[in-house]
Amino acid sequence: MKRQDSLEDFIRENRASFDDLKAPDRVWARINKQDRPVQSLWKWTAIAASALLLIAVGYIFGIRTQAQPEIAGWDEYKEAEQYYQDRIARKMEKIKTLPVGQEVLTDIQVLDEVYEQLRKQLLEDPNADTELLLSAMIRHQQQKLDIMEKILNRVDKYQSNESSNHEM
Amino acid sequence: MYSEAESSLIALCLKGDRQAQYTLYKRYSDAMFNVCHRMLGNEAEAEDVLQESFIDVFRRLDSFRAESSLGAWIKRIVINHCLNVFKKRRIKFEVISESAGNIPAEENEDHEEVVFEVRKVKEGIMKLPDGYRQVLTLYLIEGYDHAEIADILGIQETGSKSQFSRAKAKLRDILKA
Repeated sequence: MKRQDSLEDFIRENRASFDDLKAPDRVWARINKQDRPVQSLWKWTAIAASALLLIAVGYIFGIRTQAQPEIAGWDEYKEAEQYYQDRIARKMEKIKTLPVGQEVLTDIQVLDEVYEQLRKQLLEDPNADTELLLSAMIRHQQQKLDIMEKILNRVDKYQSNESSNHEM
Repeated sequence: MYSEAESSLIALCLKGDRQAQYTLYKRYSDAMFNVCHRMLGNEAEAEDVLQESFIDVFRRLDSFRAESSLGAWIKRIVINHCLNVFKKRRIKFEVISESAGNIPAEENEDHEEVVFEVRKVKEGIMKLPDGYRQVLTLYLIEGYDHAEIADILGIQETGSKSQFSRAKAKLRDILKA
Protein backbone atom coordinates (compact mmCIF):
# COMPACT_ATOMS: atom_id res chain seq x y z
CA MET A 1 0.00 0.00 0.00
CA LYS A 2 1.15 3.47 -0.77
CA ARG A 3 2.56 5.31 2.17
CA GLN A 4 0.75 8.39 3.29
CA ASP A 5 2.42 11.60 2.29
CA SER A 6 1.21 14.55 4.28
CA LEU A 7 2.32 17.25 1.83
CA GLU A 8 0.83 15.44 -1.16
CA ASP A 9 -2.38 14.76 0.68
CA PHE A 10 -2.59 18.31 1.88
CA ILE A 11 -2.30 19.73 -1.64
CA ARG A 12 -4.77 17.23 -3.08
CA GLU A 13 -7.31 17.81 -0.35
CA ASN A 14 -7.06 21.55 -0.70
CA ARG A 15 -6.94 21.60 -4.46
CA ALA A 16 -9.85 24.03 -4.72
CA SER A 17 -8.18 26.51 -2.38
CA PHE A 18 -5.24 26.80 -4.76
CA ASP A 19 -7.58 28.34 -7.34
CA ASP A 20 -7.69 31.62 -5.48
CA LEU A 21 -7.04 34.05 -8.34
CA LYS A 22 -9.78 35.72 -10.33
CA ALA A 23 -9.37 36.27 -14.05
CA PRO A 24 -9.19 40.05 -14.58
CA ASP A 25 -12.20 41.53 -16.40
CA ARG A 26 -10.02 43.15 -19.03
CA VAL A 27 -9.20 39.72 -20.44
CA TRP A 28 -12.77 39.25 -21.63
CA ALA A 29 -12.80 42.77 -23.03
CA ARG A 30 -9.73 41.90 -25.09
CA ILE A 31 -11.19 38.59 -26.28
CA ASN A 32 -14.37 40.38 -27.25
CA LYS A 33 -12.39 42.86 -29.32
CA GLN A 34 -10.31 40.29 -31.15
CA ASP A 35 -12.70 37.50 -31.77
CA ARG A 36 -15.40 38.98 -34.00
CA PRO A 37 -18.50 36.83 -34.30
CA VAL A 38 -19.70 35.60 -37.68
CA GLN A 39 -23.09 37.02 -36.79
CA SER A 40 -22.09 40.60 -37.52
CA LEU A 41 -21.78 39.80 -41.24
CA TRP A 42 -25.37 40.70 -42.00
CA LYS A 43 -24.85 43.97 -40.19
CA TRP A 44 -22.03 44.88 -42.51
CA THR A 45 -24.20 43.92 -45.45
CA ALA A 46 -26.85 46.31 -44.17
CA ILE A 47 -24.34 49.08 -43.59
CA ALA A 48 -22.83 48.55 -47.01
CA ALA A 49 -26.28 48.70 -48.61
CA SER A 50 -27.13 51.90 -46.75
CA ALA A 51 -23.81 53.46 -47.68
CA LEU A 52 -24.36 52.59 -51.31
CA LEU A 53 -27.70 54.32 -51.25
CA LEU A 54 -26.36 57.38 -49.51
CA ILE A 55 -23.74 57.66 -52.23
CA ALA A 56 -26.48 57.32 -54.81
CA VAL A 57 -28.46 60.08 -53.12
CA GLY A 58 -25.41 62.33 -53.11
CA TYR A 59 -24.87 61.61 -56.75
CA ILE A 60 -28.46 62.45 -57.58
CA PHE A 61 -28.27 65.71 -55.65
CA GLY A 62 -25.14 66.50 -57.57
CA ILE A 63 -26.64 65.97 -60.98
CA ARG A 64 -29.76 68.18 -60.73
CA THR A 65 -30.98 67.63 -64.22
CA GLN A 66 -33.57 69.85 -65.87
CA ALA A 67 -37.02 70.40 -64.39
CA GLN A 68 -39.50 67.59 -64.78
CA PRO A 69 -42.79 68.52 -63.17
CA GLU A 70 -44.64 65.26 -63.56
CA ILE A 71 -43.13 61.99 -62.57
CA ALA A 72 -42.99 59.51 -65.38
CA GLY A 73 -43.57 55.93 -64.37
CA TRP A 74 -44.97 56.90 -60.97
CA ASP A 75 -48.03 54.64 -61.27
CA GLU A 76 -45.94 51.64 -62.19
CA TYR A 77 -43.65 52.44 -59.32
CA LYS A 78 -46.55 52.61 -56.86
CA GLU A 79 -47.43 49.07 -57.83
CA ALA A 80 -43.90 47.84 -57.34
CA GLU A 81 -43.65 49.68 -54.06
CA GLN A 82 -46.84 48.09 -52.82
CA TYR A 83 -45.53 44.67 -53.74
CA TYR A 84 -42.28 45.15 -51.89
CA GLN A 85 -43.83 46.84 -48.89
CA ASP A 86 -46.17 43.89 -48.40
CA ARG A 87 -43.36 41.36 -48.55
CA ILE A 88 -41.15 43.45 -46.30
CA ALA A 89 -43.95 43.85 -43.77
CA ARG A 90 -44.51 40.10 -43.69
CA LYS A 91 -40.82 39.41 -43.18
CA MET A 92 -40.65 42.08 -40.52
CA GLU A 93 -43.45 40.39 -38.58
CA LYS A 94 -41.52 37.14 -38.72
CA ILE A 95 -38.26 38.76 -37.64
CA LYS A 96 -39.95 40.45 -34.71
CA THR A 97 -41.07 37.08 -33.32
CA LEU A 98 -37.50 35.74 -33.37
CA PRO A 99 -34.85 36.16 -30.72
CA VAL A 100 -32.84 38.66 -32.73
CA GLY A 101 -31.07 41.54 -31.09
CA GLN A 102 -32.45 45.05 -30.91
CA GLU A 103 -29.59 46.15 -33.15
CA VAL A 104 -31.06 44.15 -36.01
CA LEU A 105 -34.28 46.13 -35.77
CA THR A 106 -32.37 49.38 -35.40
CA ASP A 107 -30.40 48.68 -38.55
CA ILE A 108 -33.55 47.91 -40.47
CA GLN A 109 -34.86 51.24 -39.25
CA VAL A 110 -31.81 52.98 -40.66
CA LEU A 111 -32.62 51.45 -44.03
CA ASP A 112 -36.17 52.76 -43.73
CA GLU A 113 -34.88 56.26 -43.12
CA VAL A 114 -32.72 56.13 -46.22
CA TYR A 115 -35.74 55.06 -48.20
CA GLU A 116 -37.85 57.90 -46.82
CA GLN A 117 -35.16 60.35 -47.86
CA LEU A 118 -35.22 59.05 -51.42
CA ARG A 119 -38.98 59.23 -51.54
CA LYS A 120 -39.06 62.75 -50.13
CA GLN A 121 -36.60 63.94 -52.69
CA LEU A 122 -38.53 62.38 -55.50
CA LEU A 123 -41.75 64.12 -54.49
CA GLU A 124 -40.38 67.45 -53.34
CA ASP A 125 -37.36 68.24 -55.45
CA PRO A 126 -38.51 69.56 -58.84
CA ASN A 127 -35.06 68.99 -60.26
CA ALA A 128 -34.75 65.40 -59.15
CA ASP A 129 -33.78 62.77 -61.69
CA THR A 130 -36.89 60.69 -61.21
CA GLU A 131 -35.79 57.78 -63.29
CA LEU A 132 -32.64 57.39 -61.25
CA LEU A 133 -34.48 57.87 -57.97
CA LEU A 134 -37.18 55.37 -58.84
CA SER A 135 -34.67 52.71 -59.76
CA ALA A 136 -32.66 53.45 -56.62
CA MET A 137 -35.82 53.07 -54.57
CA ILE A 138 -36.67 49.74 -56.17
CA ARG A 139 -33.14 48.54 -55.69
CA HIS A 140 -33.25 49.65 -52.10
CA GLN A 141 -36.31 47.57 -51.41
CA GLN A 142 -34.86 44.56 -53.13
CA GLN A 143 -31.75 44.82 -51.00
CA LYS A 144 -33.76 45.25 -47.85
CA LEU A 145 -35.79 42.17 -48.64
CA ASP A 146 -32.57 40.34 -49.35
CA ILE A 147 -31.05 41.32 -46.02
CA MET A 148 -34.18 40.31 -44.14
CA GLU A 149 -34.15 37.00 -45.95
CA LYS A 150 -30.57 36.44 -44.84
CA ILE A 151 -31.42 37.23 -41.24
CA LEU A 152 -34.32 34.77 -41.30
CA ASN A 153 -32.19 32.06 -42.89
CA ARG A 154 -29.51 32.43 -40.27
CA VAL A 155 -31.95 32.32 -37.41
CA ASP A 156 -33.72 29.32 -38.97
CA LYS A 157 -30.48 27.44 -39.35
CA TYR A 158 -29.53 28.20 -35.81
CA GLN A 159 -32.92 27.14 -34.45
CA SER A 160 -32.92 23.85 -36.34
CA ASN A 161 -29.43 23.20 -34.99
CA GLU A 162 -30.63 23.86 -31.52
CA SER A 163 -33.69 21.63 -31.76
CA SER A 164 -31.61 18.77 -33.13
CA ASN A 165 -29.29 19.20 -30.16
CA HIS A 166 -32.21 18.92 -27.81
CA GLU A 167 -33.20 15.63 -29.33
CA MET A 168 -29.83 14.15 -28.52
CA MET B 1 -20.31 14.78 -17.84
CA TYR B 2 -21.67 16.47 -20.93
CA SER B 3 -25.05 17.88 -20.06
CA GLU B 4 -27.79 18.97 -22.42
CA ALA B 5 -27.49 22.50 -21.08
CA GLU B 6 -23.81 22.50 -21.89
CA SER B 7 -24.39 21.13 -25.37
CA SER B 8 -26.87 23.88 -26.20
CA LEU B 9 -24.47 26.45 -24.76
CA ILE B 10 -21.82 25.09 -27.10
CA ALA B 11 -24.23 25.24 -30.03
CA LEU B 12 -24.89 28.91 -29.27
CA CYS B 13 -21.19 29.64 -29.00
CA LEU B 14 -20.62 28.00 -32.36
CA LYS B 15 -23.20 30.36 -33.82
CA GLY B 16 -21.09 33.21 -32.55
CA ASP B 17 -23.55 34.18 -29.82
CA ARG B 18 -21.65 36.67 -27.67
CA GLN B 19 -23.76 36.13 -24.58
CA ALA B 20 -23.24 32.38 -24.73
CA GLN B 21 -19.51 32.81 -25.24
CA TYR B 22 -19.40 35.08 -22.24
CA THR B 23 -21.31 32.52 -20.15
CA LEU B 24 -18.85 29.83 -21.15
CA TYR B 25 -15.90 32.12 -20.50
CA LYS B 26 -17.24 33.08 -17.08
CA ARG B 27 -17.73 29.44 -16.15
CA TYR B 28 -14.12 28.48 -16.77
CA SER B 29 -12.01 31.65 -16.80
CA ASP B 30 -11.11 31.82 -13.11
CA ALA B 31 -10.04 28.18 -12.93
CA MET B 32 -8.08 28.52 -16.19
CA PHE B 33 -6.43 31.72 -15.05
CA ASN B 34 -5.12 29.82 -12.04
CA VAL B 35 -3.85 27.04 -14.30
CA CYS B 36 -2.01 29.64 -16.41
CA HIS B 37 -0.58 31.28 -13.34
CA ARG B 38 0.71 27.99 -11.97
CA MET B 39 2.22 26.99 -15.29
CA LEU B 40 3.83 30.32 -16.11
CA GLY B 41 4.60 31.67 -12.67
CA ASN B 42 3.44 35.23 -13.27
CA GLU B 43 0.16 37.06 -13.75
CA ALA B 44 1.01 39.18 -16.77
CA GLU B 45 1.77 36.21 -18.98
CA ALA B 46 -1.10 34.29 -17.44
CA GLU B 47 -3.47 37.02 -18.63
CA ASP B 48 -2.12 36.97 -22.17
CA VAL B 49 -2.28 33.22 -22.37
CA LEU B 50 -5.80 33.15 -20.94
CA GLN B 51 -6.87 35.54 -23.68
CA GLU B 52 -5.20 33.56 -26.48
CA SER B 53 -6.52 30.30 -25.12
CA PHE B 54 -10.15 31.38 -25.08
CA ILE B 55 -9.96 32.83 -28.56
CA ASP B 56 -8.60 29.45 -29.58
CA VAL B 57 -11.32 27.66 -27.62
CA PHE B 58 -14.06 29.55 -29.48
CA ARG B 59 -12.40 28.90 -32.83
CA ARG B 60 -11.92 25.22 -32.19
CA LEU B 61 -15.15 24.52 -30.36
CA ASP B 62 -16.53 22.66 -33.38
CA SER B 63 -13.82 20.06 -32.90
CA PHE B 64 -14.84 19.40 -29.32
CA ARG B 65 -16.12 15.86 -28.94
CA ALA B 66 -17.85 14.76 -25.81
CA GLU B 67 -15.06 12.25 -25.10
CA SER B 68 -13.90 14.43 -22.23
CA SER B 69 -15.61 17.09 -20.20
CA LEU B 70 -15.61 20.57 -21.67
CA GLY B 71 -13.54 21.78 -18.73
CA ALA B 72 -10.88 19.13 -19.33
CA TRP B 73 -10.82 19.96 -23.04
CA ILE B 74 -10.37 23.67 -22.35
CA LYS B 75 -7.69 22.92 -19.78
CA ARG B 76 -5.63 21.02 -22.34
CA ILE B 77 -5.83 23.96 -24.73
CA VAL B 78 -4.78 26.33 -21.95
CA ILE B 79 -1.84 24.12 -20.95
CA ASN B 80 -0.69 23.83 -24.56
CA HIS B 81 -0.75 27.61 -24.87
CA CYS B 82 1.31 27.88 -21.70
CA LEU B 83 3.86 25.44 -23.09
CA ASN B 84 4.02 27.51 -26.28
CA VAL B 85 5.14 30.45 -24.19
CA PHE B 86 8.03 28.36 -22.94
CA LYS B 87 8.83 27.34 -26.50
CA LYS B 88 8.83 30.99 -27.52
CA ARG B 89 11.16 31.76 -24.69
CA ARG B 90 13.31 29.06 -26.27
CA ILE B 91 13.48 27.24 -23.03
CA LYS B 92 12.97 23.60 -23.63
CA PHE B 93 11.27 21.65 -20.97
CA GLU B 94 14.10 19.95 -19.23
CA VAL B 95 14.14 17.33 -16.63
CA ILE B 96 16.23 18.94 -13.98
CA SER B 97 18.96 16.49 -13.10
CA GLU B 98 21.05 18.42 -10.64
CA SER B 99 20.71 15.62 -8.16
CA ALA B 100 20.24 12.76 -10.56
CA GLY B 101 20.31 9.44 -8.82
CA ASN B 102 19.56 11.20 -5.62
CA ILE B 103 15.83 10.98 -5.71
CA PRO B 104 14.66 11.27 -2.14
CA ALA B 105 13.59 7.97 -0.77
CA GLU B 106 10.20 7.62 0.82
CA GLU B 107 11.91 7.24 4.20
CA ASN B 108 13.25 10.74 3.94
CA GLU B 109 9.77 12.13 4.15
CA ASP B 110 8.70 13.63 7.37
CA HIS B 111 6.93 11.60 9.93
CA GLU B 112 6.29 14.47 12.26
CA GLU B 113 2.91 16.16 12.21
CA VAL B 114 3.28 19.15 9.97
CA VAL B 115 0.58 21.74 9.72
CA PHE B 116 0.54 23.21 6.27
CA GLU B 117 -1.10 26.41 5.23
CA VAL B 118 -2.50 26.80 1.73
CA ARG B 119 -1.04 30.29 1.40
CA LYS B 120 2.45 29.17 2.39
CA VAL B 121 2.37 26.05 0.26
CA LYS B 122 1.22 28.14 -2.68
CA GLU B 123 4.02 30.61 -2.16
CA GLY B 124 6.45 27.71 -1.95
CA ILE B 125 5.14 26.25 -5.22
CA MET B 126 5.61 29.58 -6.94
CA LYS B 127 9.23 29.62 -5.80
CA LEU B 128 9.97 26.31 -7.50
CA PRO B 129 11.90 26.31 -10.80
CA ASP B 130 9.52 26.15 -13.82
CA GLY B 131 10.24 22.49 -14.58
CA TYR B 132 9.55 21.43 -11.01
CA ARG B 133 6.51 23.61 -10.55
CA GLN B 134 4.87 22.37 -13.73
CA VAL B 135 5.19 18.69 -12.99
CA LEU B 136 4.18 19.12 -9.39
CA THR B 137 1.08 21.17 -10.14
CA LEU B 138 0.06 19.10 -13.16
CA TYR B 139 0.16 16.03 -10.95
CA LEU B 140 -1.23 17.27 -7.65
CA ILE B 141 -3.50 20.14 -8.62
CA GLU B 142 -4.52 19.68 -12.25
CA GLY B 143 -4.97 15.98 -11.57
CA TYR B 144 -3.11 14.36 -14.45
CA ASP B 145 -1.30 11.06 -13.99
CA HIS B 146 2.34 10.58 -14.93
CA ALA B 147 1.53 9.01 -18.29
CA GLU B 148 -0.57 12.06 -19.20
CA ILE B 149 2.06 14.48 -17.95
CA ALA B 150 4.69 12.67 -20.01
CA ASP B 151 2.43 13.12 -23.04
CA ILE B 152 1.76 16.80 -22.31
CA LEU B 153 5.40 17.68 -21.73
CA GLY B 154 6.88 15.33 -24.29
CA ILE B 155 9.02 13.48 -21.77
CA GLN B 156 9.26 9.92 -20.50
CA GLU B 157 6.86 8.72 -17.87
CA THR B 158 9.78 7.82 -15.61
CA GLY B 159 11.07 11.35 -16.15
CA SER B 160 7.81 12.74 -14.93
CA LYS B 161 7.90 10.52 -11.86
CA SER B 162 11.46 11.40 -10.86
CA GLN B 163 10.94 15.08 -11.62
CA PHE B 164 7.88 15.02 -9.40
CA SER B 165 9.81 13.41 -6.52
CA ARG B 166 12.51 16.05 -6.77
CA ALA B 167 9.98 18.83 -7.01
CA LYS B 168 8.25 17.58 -3.89
CA ALA B 169 11.54 17.36 -1.98
CA LYS B 170 12.43 20.86 -3.11
CA LEU B 171 9.05 22.17 -2.01
CA ARG B 172 9.48 20.54 1.37
CA ASP B 173 12.84 22.29 1.73
CA ILE B 174 11.33 25.63 0.82
CA LEU B 175 8.54 25.16 3.34
CA LYS B 176 10.96 24.23 6.10
CA ALA B 177 13.14 27.24 5.48
